[in-house]
Amino acid sequence: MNTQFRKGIIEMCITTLISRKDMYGYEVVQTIAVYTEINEGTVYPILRRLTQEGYFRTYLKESSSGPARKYYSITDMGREFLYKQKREWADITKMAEHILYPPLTAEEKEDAAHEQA
Amino acid sequence: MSKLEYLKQLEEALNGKISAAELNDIIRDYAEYFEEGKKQGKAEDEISKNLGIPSEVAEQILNADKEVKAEKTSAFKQAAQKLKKVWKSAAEDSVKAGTSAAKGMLYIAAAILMLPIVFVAVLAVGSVTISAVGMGISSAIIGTLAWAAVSILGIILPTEAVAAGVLLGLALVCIGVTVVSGMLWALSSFVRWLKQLFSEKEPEGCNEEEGKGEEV
Repeated sequence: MNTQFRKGIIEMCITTLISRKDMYGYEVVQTIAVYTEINEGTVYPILRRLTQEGYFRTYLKESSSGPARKYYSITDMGREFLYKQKREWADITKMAEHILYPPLTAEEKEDAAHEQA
Repeated sequence: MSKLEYLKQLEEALNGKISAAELNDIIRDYAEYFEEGKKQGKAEDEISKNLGIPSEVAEQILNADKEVKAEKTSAFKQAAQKLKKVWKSAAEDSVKAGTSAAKGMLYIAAAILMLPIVFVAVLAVGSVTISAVGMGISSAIIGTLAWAAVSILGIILPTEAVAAGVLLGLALVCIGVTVVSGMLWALSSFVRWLKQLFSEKEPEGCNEEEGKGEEV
């Protein structure tokens, strides 16, 4: 798959996760890794970029064990970005679905009915 | 690869390419990642493998930074290009529509811009012309008067003096004509340059660099 395309979708998913609750890096990576094979090192650059864009803000929180965790939390700008991304996503997936798997025409439905009968 | 080795390689790959503060921040992030992985019972070696080769991760970090910077500078670029596009489309409209209002407006705008320049140029050309012609006429008159004085009053003037007067007048006229034609030439080439400026084509190759391949 086009890597740029994949990256865009992963960005959208990360933004969605963080819009639901503040998360730290490892948590984000592991959540994404459940669904798809991913070079775990590539998630941090995405988190960093989205932070630099102003979509996330970060804060450190002491952990009971080990070093402090850096949490990512969504900003208003991030929410706006996500809203736009999701709308675009809905548009494009609708288009792809209709073109790749068009609904049956009336004739085709009739043929299917005959075959069954 | 151990955690320390991994972080060292990552640091080396990024060193000098980003600020020290950013570098520290990034190394902190990856160190945190190792610690979280270890808490889940993973070996450093395994965590390193899952993160990917340090030099590649460094490249992605630098690319991500470049993207952010490109987006920020292109805000200015975009504004400039938008302005250029508006102007260009107005110019194109005027060419297409021929005698349309756009063309008229374009010429009015150009005329307003050029008005002071033209005014000064006309003034300069006019004054030089007048002075040249004036000098020529006055020298001729002086010459004639001198000649008349010679013949009527019988005052003997050296003929060389009269000839010198007339020649001086002619020379002044020649200089005047040269200066005026030079100014006219300069004015016409200026106008031509302005015209060229208005019909200038937008340079090609403003396409944004398409995204580089990155394994995610």
